[in-house]
Amino acid sequence: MDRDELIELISAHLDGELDAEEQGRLDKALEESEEARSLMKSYKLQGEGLKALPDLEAPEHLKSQVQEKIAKEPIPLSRATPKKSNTWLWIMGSMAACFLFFFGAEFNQPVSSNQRLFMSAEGLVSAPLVHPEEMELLPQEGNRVALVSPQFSGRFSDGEATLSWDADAGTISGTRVKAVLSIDFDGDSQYDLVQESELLPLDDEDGFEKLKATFPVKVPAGAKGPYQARVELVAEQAESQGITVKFSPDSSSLELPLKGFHSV
Amino acid sequence: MTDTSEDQPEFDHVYEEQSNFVYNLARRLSKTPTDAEDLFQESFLKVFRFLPKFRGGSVRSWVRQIVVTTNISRHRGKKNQPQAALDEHEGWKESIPDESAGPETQAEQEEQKRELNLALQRLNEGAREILVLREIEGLSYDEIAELLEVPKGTVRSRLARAREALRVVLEGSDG
Repeated sequence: MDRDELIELISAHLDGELDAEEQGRLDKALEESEEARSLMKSYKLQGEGLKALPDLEAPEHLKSQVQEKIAKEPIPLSRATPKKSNTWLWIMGSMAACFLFFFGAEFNQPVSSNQRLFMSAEGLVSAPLVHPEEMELLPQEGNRVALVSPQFSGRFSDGEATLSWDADAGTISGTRVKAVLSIDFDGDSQYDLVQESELLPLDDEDGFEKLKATFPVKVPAGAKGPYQARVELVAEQAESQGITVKFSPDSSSLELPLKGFHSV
Repeated sequence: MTDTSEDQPEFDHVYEEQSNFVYNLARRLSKTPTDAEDLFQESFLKVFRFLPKFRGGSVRSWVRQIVVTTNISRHRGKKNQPQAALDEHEGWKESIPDESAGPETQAEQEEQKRELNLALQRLNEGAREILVLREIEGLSYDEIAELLEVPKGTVRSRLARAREALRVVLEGSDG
């Protein structure tokens, strides 16, 4: 028996996970080998030590820090679908309580090309005011996250929207993620455009990958706003340990074919 | 904090019931107290987000899964960071003595706990994680396999390597 096998047998023995044949081989090794007996004693002692580590109380200040984070949590988890006004009204209620009018800083500022908006857990903002936010698409607790912008006004034109963000599937292979862009063009709290990207494959290397999705935007005739945009990220399947997605002021943006905008 | 619907446990209640559990698990899984506090906060944020989707059953198991998967997600991104300096671990001391022991024994126990904690923090994340789940949380191989989404045989081999790694750190010998 080599040393690796001996270590595995001792470890499994301590957990009651050996079958009769393996137990017989371990018993023989323990009878013949001083090292085997020594390893058994060490693993047993360190296990007892770990179990005896004292319990600690969560510091009080963590509660207020959690509360602060939750106060900035307007993220609805339901999927973006057009013409679902009940969900939308709930979202609006959350946003009314939680959102600052980030667009105010750029009030009536015309722009010459596509407007670059930055992503955060609080929605879409017009300047990199936010800290990077990481969110996980967990297979068993919801494999999607959604960000909703405040309402904004201005001029949309036909064109292409581009969304950039970071995602990591860790060392899991074969996982894919897609983005869904929804836009309400006329302020009736119902999505008039819902575009899904193709499924984007993630590699199985550690570290975030930069992803980019483009969506054709066709403005309905007579659309005058106010507008609202929603971005949703969806993991393809529920077999992985979870995909981490990150919106960062450095690398994430949603470029919309806007010619000028302001908050409403 | 924030209430949820009548059909779901309230977040406040879950926090009160589980905060010490989450804190201890986060401390054991993390390399430093600062990392543990970050993991604690991220985990409760996810509890808040996903509480409306909680389908019943053991709240503790559900919360444990969130902490463990959050931890996995966190250390994926930190894989390439340099190993923390040992003096960063100096704050990693438990200070609850066994009142029934004499002063010398108490000091000795304290030293052993401190050394064990330090040794645990020096392991890589995967080894620390599986030792915590088995030795401290007392999960079975099947439960760990389900939680980490790996085969049961992988749990067995990883645990063996983790126990040996901890022994080497504690005893300073690789056999």
